[in-house]
Amino acid sequence: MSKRGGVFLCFIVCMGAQAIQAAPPLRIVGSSAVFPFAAVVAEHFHYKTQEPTPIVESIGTGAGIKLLCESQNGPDGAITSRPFTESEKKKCEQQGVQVQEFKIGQDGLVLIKRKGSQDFSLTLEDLRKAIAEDLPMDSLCKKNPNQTWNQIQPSFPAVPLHILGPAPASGTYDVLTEKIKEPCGSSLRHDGVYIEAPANENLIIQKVLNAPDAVGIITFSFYEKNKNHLLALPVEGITPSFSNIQEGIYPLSRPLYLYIKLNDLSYHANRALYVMEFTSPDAVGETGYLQKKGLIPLPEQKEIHERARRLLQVSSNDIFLKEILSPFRYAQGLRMTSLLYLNIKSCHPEEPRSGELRIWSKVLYQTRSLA
Amino acid sequence: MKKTLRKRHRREKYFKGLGFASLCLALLFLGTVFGNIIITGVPAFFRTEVLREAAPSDFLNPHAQYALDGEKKWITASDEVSLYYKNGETGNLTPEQIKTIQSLEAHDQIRLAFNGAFLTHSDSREPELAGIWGGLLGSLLTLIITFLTAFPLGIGAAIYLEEFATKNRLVHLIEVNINNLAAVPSILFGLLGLVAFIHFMGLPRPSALVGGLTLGLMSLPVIVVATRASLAAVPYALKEAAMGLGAMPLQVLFHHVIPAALPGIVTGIILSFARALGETAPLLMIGMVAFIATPPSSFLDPTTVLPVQIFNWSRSPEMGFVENTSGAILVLLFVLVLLNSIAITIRKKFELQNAF
Repeated sequence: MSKRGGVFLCFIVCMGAQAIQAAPPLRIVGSSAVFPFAAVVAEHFHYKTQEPTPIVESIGTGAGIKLLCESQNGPDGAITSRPFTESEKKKCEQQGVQVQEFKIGQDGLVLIKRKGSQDFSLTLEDLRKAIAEDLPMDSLCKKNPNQTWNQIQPSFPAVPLHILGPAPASGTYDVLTEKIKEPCGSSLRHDGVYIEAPANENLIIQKVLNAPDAVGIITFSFYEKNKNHLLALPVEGITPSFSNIQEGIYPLSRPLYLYIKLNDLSYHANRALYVMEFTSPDAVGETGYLQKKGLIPLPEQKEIHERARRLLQVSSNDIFLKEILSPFRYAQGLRMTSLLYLNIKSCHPEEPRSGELRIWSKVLYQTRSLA
Repeated sequence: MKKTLRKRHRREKYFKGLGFASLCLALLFLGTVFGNIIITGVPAFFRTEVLREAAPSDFLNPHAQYALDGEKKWITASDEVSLYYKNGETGNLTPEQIKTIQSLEAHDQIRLAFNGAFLTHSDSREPELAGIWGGLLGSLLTLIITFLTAFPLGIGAAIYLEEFATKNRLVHLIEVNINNLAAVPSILFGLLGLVAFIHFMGLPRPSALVGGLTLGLMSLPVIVVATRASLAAVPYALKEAAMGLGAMPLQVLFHHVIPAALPGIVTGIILSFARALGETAPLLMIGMVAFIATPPSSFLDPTTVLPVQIFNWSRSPEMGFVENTSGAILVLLFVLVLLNSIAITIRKKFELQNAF
């Protein structure tokens, strides 16, 4: 046994030595709703920059923020479905963790019916009465008894409740449960009134088209594609339009965030590269890959992308200031960065679309090797 | 007399029939599960490819733009095209796109090919590009750590408890506790690992080291119980005979008792490792549920294991992950069958050695 044990020990040591040499990948933690988007970006980021693929963990918004703010090392960024609370900000500051917020998009849900069927406007309260598993009655939480729409509001049509919506695996399901959460828990009905359709929104649309009384819950991009057959129910009197969701007026929507750690950017310059890819037109633009996965871009996308670029300049500049120049010659560092950028850009005129990221990664690589 | 005899025969027949029926039912369940997994999982080993020059760019997989395959002619098709071509599911395709696929089909510009990438690639958010290599390698590294911790500790503890410990209250208490631990739900070991290895010792979080240590803790009591049982099953006469010939206790142990008990010990260990290989719950607790696209190159690298990857895939909204999930389950089952057959072979070998 001793011989074999020695071999194993040697194996471990060799493996360990290897690990020290390799550059650590970025680590992004947080919300399960943003997880699919962040992971897709991670892959494109890897292929564009040749940096190691970031590791994305879905542990929930709260846990993600806690982990991010715990220490200055830890994860490089948090993905969240809500902004930091005051206490979370304070905790971050106490640990000396600096973060920058990037809004990355909007999540939106649309209640649809077949065109030509009876239209009505719901409130969030009505929606809760329709699909929540438990409802508050006489200050107790009881099983949802409603079976027809007019049991919820007398003015609603007297047809049975029949609602098709997202399944628990999807981020859209989380939006729904979050909006109806209070006060009796976020669980949706399991008695056949609410039917979960797994990740095939076309299926929901087909069912709604075939059943005049059914109400479907789909993401906004699918509603857009099938607008001419469908009717969107206004929620709280607001119709789900692109601009209403983008601006966050429509109640069944929420912004998604990426928080990036600013500590020691000269060492972790690839953080800025990652944000740059996340906010690029390639990801969230008209035909961006994130929009295909269901993210609604924000109107101020361009400004956010510009902020990411500035962060990148700053971190590249940081390398110059910290490692090469004295920290007081900021302007000179900035000039050198942009010179290097233009230089590399002119060397690679054939870079494919969104080659900017690739050029930036080369800039960072060069400044690092200079240092 | 005759009457009671007939009654007894009838009873025996009923009992036999009952046993046979329950066996059939179990086989039926097993067949349904396996059949379902195989039917949904086998397509994962084939991928849809399209001719690069013939197909529109949105038919190619999202990473085709990076020209990872060089200038290859056949390119892996996107998830939606693949699903339509394989299963006829229209998904989110427009009627025009479907027409295009049909024309590609008519011109032999779309084909099914063996998907080697499913075995050699690591995780991806694009089901048509995702593979299990990272998970498989992570499982292997994790299992090595599990083996290194659970094997020496478990065997040592069992031998001490069975052969050397004086039977006092403390030892009795330890015995009872080990027996209890063997039945504790595995998620509790995940909690223990989280507190002991990550919060207290500060080991790197989603690494094979922490996962392996946690699974090692989980398999430890099972190994102790199995080893003790097989040590206890060695007839006392064997020891007495050895001692009668003047062997020291240590000689008795290593020359006679352990060889005789080895088949049982090995079976217990391999079965507990097979369980560790398929374990998910404790690993979720210690944060191994992450998207990791780079296969681990050391015990400290961020790692995921195959069962956790299966869990992750099964939660993904993309339809293509349904077949991937089943395909990965097939691979996991294959590895488990392999481990169990190794256990049987080893046991047979040692049994033969000791038969003389």
